[in-house]
Amino acid sequence: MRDNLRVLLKRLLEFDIDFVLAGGLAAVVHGSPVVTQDIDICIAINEVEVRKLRNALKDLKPRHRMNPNFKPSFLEYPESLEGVQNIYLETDLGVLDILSELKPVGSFETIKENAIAISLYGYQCKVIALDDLIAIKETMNRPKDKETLLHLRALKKKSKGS
Amino acid sequence: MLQKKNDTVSIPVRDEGTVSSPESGLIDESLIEHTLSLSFEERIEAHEAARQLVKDLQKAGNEHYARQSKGPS
Repeated sequence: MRDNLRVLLKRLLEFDIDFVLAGGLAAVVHGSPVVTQDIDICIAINEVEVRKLRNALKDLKPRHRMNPNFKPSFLEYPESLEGVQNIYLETDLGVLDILSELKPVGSFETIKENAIAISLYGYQCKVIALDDLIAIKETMNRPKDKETLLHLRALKKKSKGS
Repeated sequence: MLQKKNDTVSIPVRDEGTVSSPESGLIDESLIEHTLSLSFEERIEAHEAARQLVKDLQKAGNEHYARQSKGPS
């Protein structure tokens, strides 16, 4: 099977990864009509969570994707997690970005504390709070982030009005 | 970008901020590389799966906000 973000997200839930959904898919949860091609999650990058992630992804050929000429396996690298903040992967089910901190909001713990919980595929899935997502998008310069920000601000205004 | 130094491997990072072209950092070029690795049929299937995921998340999000607007019972 090739790219299927639905199955990939289910896999993360099934393997009990302690994550908060962020990025475009989180914007969708809050009501934004954006389209996205990847899954962004915020986790604490530590031995326990990375072991669980490797277990969840082991049959999906997870590999680091940022250099098209050299894509080492996530199952082997990084050997040490010291200083690792973000991990950008592609897998046989699609692209997965793993982030330990989301500026300017802060670390995983802060993101998790503010997150909302939705019921998805029989699991509780944590999703970054709308205010946090807006704060993050405000610091980004990519056209797609600017567009998403407009949607999120409109959603925020609407939620205040209701 | 990923570098090999003395048999060690450093983890590749997104190169935001070190602008080498006007487009650098504005799009994720590795996403394009990834999409190009798929056949046309696989891209269609991926799109359909992503569309279904979006529907599932919209439904779950709507349920969350509906519960929230009702408040504690």
